[in-house]
Amino acid sequence: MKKYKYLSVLALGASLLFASCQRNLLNPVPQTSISDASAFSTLSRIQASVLGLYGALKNGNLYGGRYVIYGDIRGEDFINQTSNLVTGSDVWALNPTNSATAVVNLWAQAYYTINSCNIFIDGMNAGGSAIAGPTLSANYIAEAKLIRALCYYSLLQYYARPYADGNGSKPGLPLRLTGIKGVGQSNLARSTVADVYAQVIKDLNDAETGLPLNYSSAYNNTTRAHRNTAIALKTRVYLSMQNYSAVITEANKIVSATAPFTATSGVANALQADITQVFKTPYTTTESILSMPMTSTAGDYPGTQNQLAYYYTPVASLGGVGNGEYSLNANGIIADPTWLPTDARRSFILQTGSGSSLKYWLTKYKAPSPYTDYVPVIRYSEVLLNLAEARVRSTNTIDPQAVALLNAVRNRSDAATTYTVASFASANDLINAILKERRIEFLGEGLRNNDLMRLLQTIPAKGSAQSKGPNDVGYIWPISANELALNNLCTDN
Amino acid sequence: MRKLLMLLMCALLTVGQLWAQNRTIHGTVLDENGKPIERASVVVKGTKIGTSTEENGTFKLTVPPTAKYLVITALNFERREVFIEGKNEVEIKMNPLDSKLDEVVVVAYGTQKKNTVTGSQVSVKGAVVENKPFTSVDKALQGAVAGLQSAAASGAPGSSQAIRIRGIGSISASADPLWVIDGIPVNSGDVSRLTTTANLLSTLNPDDIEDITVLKDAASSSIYGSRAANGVILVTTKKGRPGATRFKFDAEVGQNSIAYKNSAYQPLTADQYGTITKEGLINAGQATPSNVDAIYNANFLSVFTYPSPVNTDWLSAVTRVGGQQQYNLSASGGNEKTTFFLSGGMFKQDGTTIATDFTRINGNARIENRATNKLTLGFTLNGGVTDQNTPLNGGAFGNPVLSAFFLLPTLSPYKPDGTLNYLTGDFPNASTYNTVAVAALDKRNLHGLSLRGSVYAEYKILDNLRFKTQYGVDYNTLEENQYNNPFYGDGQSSGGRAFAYYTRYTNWDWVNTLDFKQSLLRSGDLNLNLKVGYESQLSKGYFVSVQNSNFPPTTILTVPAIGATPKTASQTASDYAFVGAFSSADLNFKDKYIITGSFRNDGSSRFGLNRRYGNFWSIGGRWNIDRERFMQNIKFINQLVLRSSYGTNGNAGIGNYDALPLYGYGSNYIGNPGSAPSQAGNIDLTWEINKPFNVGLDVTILKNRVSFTIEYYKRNTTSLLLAAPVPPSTGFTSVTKNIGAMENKGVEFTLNVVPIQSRDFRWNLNFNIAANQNRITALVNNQDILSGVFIRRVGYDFQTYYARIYAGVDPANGDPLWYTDATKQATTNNYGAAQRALYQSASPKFFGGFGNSFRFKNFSFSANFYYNFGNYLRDTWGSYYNGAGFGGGFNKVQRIMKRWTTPGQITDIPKYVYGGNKSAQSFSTFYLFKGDFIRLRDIELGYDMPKSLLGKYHIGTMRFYVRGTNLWTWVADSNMPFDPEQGVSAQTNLEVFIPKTVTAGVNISF
Repeated sequence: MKKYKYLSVLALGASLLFASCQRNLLNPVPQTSISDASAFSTLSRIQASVLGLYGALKNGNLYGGRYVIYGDIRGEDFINQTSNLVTGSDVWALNPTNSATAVVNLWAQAYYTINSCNIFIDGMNAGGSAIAGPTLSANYIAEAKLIRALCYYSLLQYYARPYADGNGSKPGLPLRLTGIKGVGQSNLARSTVADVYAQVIKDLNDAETGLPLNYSSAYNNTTRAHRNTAIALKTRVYLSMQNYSAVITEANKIVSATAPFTATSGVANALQADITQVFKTPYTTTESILSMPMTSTAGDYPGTQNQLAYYYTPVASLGGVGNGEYSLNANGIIADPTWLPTDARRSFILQTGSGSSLKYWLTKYKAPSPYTDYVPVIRYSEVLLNLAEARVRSTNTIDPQAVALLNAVRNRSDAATTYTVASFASANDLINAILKERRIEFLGEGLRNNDLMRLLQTIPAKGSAQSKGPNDVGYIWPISANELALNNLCTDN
Repeated sequence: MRKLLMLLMCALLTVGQLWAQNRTIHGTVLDENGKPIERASVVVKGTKIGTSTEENGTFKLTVPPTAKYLVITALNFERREVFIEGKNEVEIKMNPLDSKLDEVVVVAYGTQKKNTVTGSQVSVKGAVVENKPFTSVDKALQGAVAGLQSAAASGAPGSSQAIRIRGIGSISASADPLWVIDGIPVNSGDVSRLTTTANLLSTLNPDDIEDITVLKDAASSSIYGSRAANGVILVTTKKGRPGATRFKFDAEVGQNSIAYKNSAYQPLTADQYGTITKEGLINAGQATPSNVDAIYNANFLSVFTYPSPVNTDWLSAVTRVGGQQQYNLSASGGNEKTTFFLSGGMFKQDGTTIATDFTRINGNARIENRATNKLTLGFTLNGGVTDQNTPLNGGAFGNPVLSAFFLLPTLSPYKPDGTLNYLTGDFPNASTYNTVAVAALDKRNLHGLSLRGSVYAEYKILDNLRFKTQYGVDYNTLEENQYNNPFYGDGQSSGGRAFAYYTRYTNWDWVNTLDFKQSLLRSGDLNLNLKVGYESQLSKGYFVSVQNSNFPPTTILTVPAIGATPKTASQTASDYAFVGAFSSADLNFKDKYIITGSFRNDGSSRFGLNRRYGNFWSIGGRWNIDRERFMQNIKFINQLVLRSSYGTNGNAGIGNYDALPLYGYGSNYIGNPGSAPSQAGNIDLTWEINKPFNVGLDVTILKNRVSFTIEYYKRNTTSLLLAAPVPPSTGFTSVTKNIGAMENKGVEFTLNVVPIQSRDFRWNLNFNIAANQNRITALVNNQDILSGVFIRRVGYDFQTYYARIYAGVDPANGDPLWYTDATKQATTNNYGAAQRALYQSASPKFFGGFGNSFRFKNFSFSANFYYNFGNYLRDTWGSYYNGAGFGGGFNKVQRIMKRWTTPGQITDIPKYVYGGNKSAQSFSTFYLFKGDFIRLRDIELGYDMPKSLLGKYHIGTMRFYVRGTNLWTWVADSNMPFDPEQGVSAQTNLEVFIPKTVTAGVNISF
């Protein structure tokens, strides 16, 4: 009998003891996700987080598709075919509302990416750097800053007045620089355009310092940021700020003084002899400074109604792989007689039908579903043209190097045309030629809107869509309705 | 060797001689009203020889010649000793314990004297749920408990069943009650990930259940803390009683057919479809009277030229009369030291639709040993395996019920040569499939396995202090398999495909309790019962998913390993834990005034760091008025009790990791895994808080012939979890927060009457009703939430429809009309110009059950009804088969023949226009139906074989019966398209039809 008594007293004691340990059970460790605290606990987790930042940037709502598409369809070179609000017919018509798909989703995805970068930078500073070591840590933080800068710059192009309007004094964006992981940080007013640009430049400067010169593979040299990427982006940003001397300073770091123009340090970025090679597998030429890679792995392609080839190529029966959302404007840049039929870049144009059903389509992107064309973020030819334009504008002369740079881009696709200083009557003529070259060279690469904006030019009419001057409603987008409803300090445009 | 044999023979002879000297006593144990008492213990005084009584109160006991007295004990009755010398047959009448003073009921973490219970709880005896043709016990609870709504969304065998106790108490978290089986909180509900429905409770054989107790208010359930808000259902399985081993065998066979059909919703015949389609083509301007026949013949007929025109009734083709059978065998008994209960069962149900069936095989063991006077040890193990085939539902092309209404009657499931017809000319790819072919060629099945078991020990430290520890495990696995052939159907585009999903839930729970009883006054008038306990639980979910495609051109090889192209190979996991310390106490003064209280400090891994633990409590009071001196002269009142309770409990039914700020993988880049913030955390996230108030009156009058209970409750649920939007510039779109609030209040009434009671005839009548009113009282910024066809608005019922109000058909031109707004002042034929209005609710205003049972000599008859009133049901897919021509290429139902055809005609079906008539297909109140119904849930006629006959064959009892389930259904709305029972949200989804079942069976015990 006694033994049972002892036994049960023992059991009671043991269970009470055990009970006190049970509270450990309540610290959950999810197995499909990791808690934010442990996201920086090992090098491989940190590396996965870096890739996640690019993954966010590559999202179909941002650089995987729609950011680039909106940049072109706001301009005059495309005609909407489907009147579908989901695929940006309102963006094309320059009248999207605060709650338009484009306005709401691009804003959300860009800020999601920005917050991911902020959380990453915070996490590295809080302990991740110690695990990654000084070199890798500097590299990774620099990548995060570059992505953050690119997002802020991109948002400015649609949601804020151009820098040229009042030298950046107009309302810019809520500038969020620390990671948000919970509730209670809703309200933040918009900083000025100048302040946001200043942050973009600061981030890119930091990135330039922290990024590696290059990677071991051509693949990574195109899909991950290296030092030249930061410099190249700075030429774009400074051009938008009309800070032409800074464009020259930056561009000179990666453009040799004479032709053939190449980057002399870091990745040997250069033009390809044949532009069509840039838009083909493996998409990783040295001309593509940064592109968003796509594969047919689930989650690694742009997703429904975000894909460039889906928007720009016609349906299969017409020889395309997409849905023909937008055709090329027959009266747009493709009508320009100086863009010769022999120009290699005309090979990106597909003509279908005849008579009233005659249409032109852009086939620069042509990989079929799930649409694995790499999406260009910045190419070396843009750096050359940025430099060319900055040189002309800063000197207001027919700058010979500017002509040489323009020639480098034109000649490689159009052997029949060679510009000389004598081709241009004035500096302004040269600038116009450079701007026209940009429309031809970057058709479908999302730069048209930025070029119109930075020069405060009127967005020309096209098809049924009316033109919008800098003072018209619709010249820039309104702010996302969701932001306005929930961020009490945010004001609309 | 020879010696041994001799010895054996001697032994045998001796035994034989002993037998010869014994005698057998037959007897019946009855209550004060002459009603048989089941499971009364019958023991020969001073020995361990004993047995227990059958369902009909009879027993048979072989007693030694020395036996003089039998001792009979039964729950809630006084102990009796009966002199038996010289008697072979006895009838024993038991006296109930004084005013049921010592009757004991199941409560949370133990049992309690019934007359000290302050809470609202209802016990359903095992006899109510056993031997019913239901695949799981939750289906058998329909109509049995006032305030418990049990609604099937599907009639598929083995499907899940939604249970709501006292209304819906949550918006985004779970509204399901907590199931506790033999003291272990278990995982329950639908855990299917691939197939359409799988019910974890379907592995439990209702035949093994002794008692189901439903806890409805704070006093009864708050001790379960953060999981009690939606109510708690305690299941106690059967255990053995001391006495001779008793066997029980049940067998039942029968058949299932569709319970409810409406002739207005039968598919059209080929001729009818031809008539209406030609008319519609002309109305749509797609044909003229002169060319319509040619157009019709070219586009709407089979590619085969049959000898005679095809006229397929697809509804008949995909439905059937299914078989039903179950067999249960149990053995129970033991002696005063050790008791046992063993059982096994087999259950098989074929559904009303092709490719639906369910089979369960299960076993159950329970052994309890009193090691010493102080120590009791026990062990339970309950295991079941299920095998289930369930087709697709809703709008899936492979859904047989969908195809019954969508496929053209001009197409035949078979080719003229008798082989399956799936030529693209008749059945184009990516459209409604010939589901007869799909059922023959594809596979969709699941195998479930559940093991629920526990070991426990109870030690009486002092006479008034007991310690109990119980460790239980609830282990469930589900293997789901799907194969889609490469030739036709869902697998065609991927060259055939197969899925294999494995789901496992391992759940352990450890409870330790200390029970203390103490009399606080020397007189014994004031008594305290105190319980303290500690419970910890960990549930781990484990999920493997595999998909492969590109299969060889055969339908024989169906496992994923055969596919050439791997598609998915994934494994995930999800866990939760609860740790709680709890206590309950009741203070009883002279059995007149009782105060109870409970408290639990509960912690859950699901909640944010700052709010991981919470305190939940309840207080309750009970006044046994009938015990008062002033009541002693009021003879016609046997019992009069006033009860009330109030307290708090919680709802922890949220995602396992909702509170955590998370990094998720899947943000892939360059083919490598990328991680990114996937969830904004909320370290303040916590349970939803429920504060139930309850007051009840229990009355028993007229010599216990009439008893009723009336209760009023009001429960306020606050801190409802809602996704609160945050500005997108924070990087997230929403954060889960405790914001919303809701209120449920209502009245419940339960009545039991014995109108006639005599030796040969007894009539029992029961009735229950529950009326509940639900109101949302707070939302995020009190803004409306649109959720499909519902609107969540402050001040309104949770399931209020938000719909344009249909105004009928314009007699002039057959256009559909809608009221422009809720005032119903003006109509429009422009759907877009009509405003949506708040309209009725999908939740019933009141529901309940009523029944009669009669016993005349050896015959018994019972009929139980379930009813449901005040809700509206939506016909989700009605736009296709009753949408004025919308989806013209699909078949229609008979009701469409009442369409408008001539000016001046009054009808509610618009002019039939091929392709649709002015958005008549769009959701409006036209697709809502008054959901009132009454259903004959159960009707049974039984006959007990006379004992005199059975005795010869050593059979205790033998009973034959025929039973019907869902045999008759009355609906208020003559246009009710499908079964009026369509889940808690009352949305039809072309699910497998709920069956009506007719069975015949036998119960034998010996």
